[in-house]
Amino acid sequence: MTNIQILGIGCAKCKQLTENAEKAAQELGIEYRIEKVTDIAQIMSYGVMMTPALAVDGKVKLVGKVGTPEEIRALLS
Amino acid sequence: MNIRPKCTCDSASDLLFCCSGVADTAEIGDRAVRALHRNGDAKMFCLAGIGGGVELILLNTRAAGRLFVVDGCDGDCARKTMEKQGFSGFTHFRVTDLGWEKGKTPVTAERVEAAAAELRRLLVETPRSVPA
Repeated sequence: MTNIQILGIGCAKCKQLTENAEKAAQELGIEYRIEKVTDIAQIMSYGVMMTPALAVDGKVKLVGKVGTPEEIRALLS
Repeated sequence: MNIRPKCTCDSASDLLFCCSGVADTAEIGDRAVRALHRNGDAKMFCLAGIGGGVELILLNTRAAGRLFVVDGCDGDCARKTMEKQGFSGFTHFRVTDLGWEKGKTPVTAERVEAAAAELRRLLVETPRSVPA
């Protein structure tokens, strides 16, 4: 099971990143779980200074941008 | 009352890097950058993390709004460190360009403030654009 964390308080960009991450995971056919981290203090604890951000199994992979499904697929595989 | 925190998705931070070297002029630069960081003008970030290729530091730096790089002398170690990791388009400030000579410029509060003032001027005058 791959845990995908979406770091951001829930604006349109965060929602788009969530959708793109789901699409990427589905395209890869992997088992995954999306976790939305919306608490600023918790987001900061990841070492992220800009949002939205994406982490895979707790490791930050994308910061300050809405990754495309293609970009996220590369991060997940 | 439930106060929703402000979204940070549209407010990329300005980041400051300094060589923070041994020389007096490097120390002036370092103290000036830390003063701006403490005052909330911009965030000081770890040049060592850039040099070491620390992934999280690189990711945050690539996502930053504007980058400001401070060197104490014309060795330009900070600038070269940034360039080695592929960063360009940043604003570069050399402390000795204020007319001070490396090794002959005792660190004083007045000089630190003068360097900080120059950095504040650059922060105001540098256009906001996405770093390369």
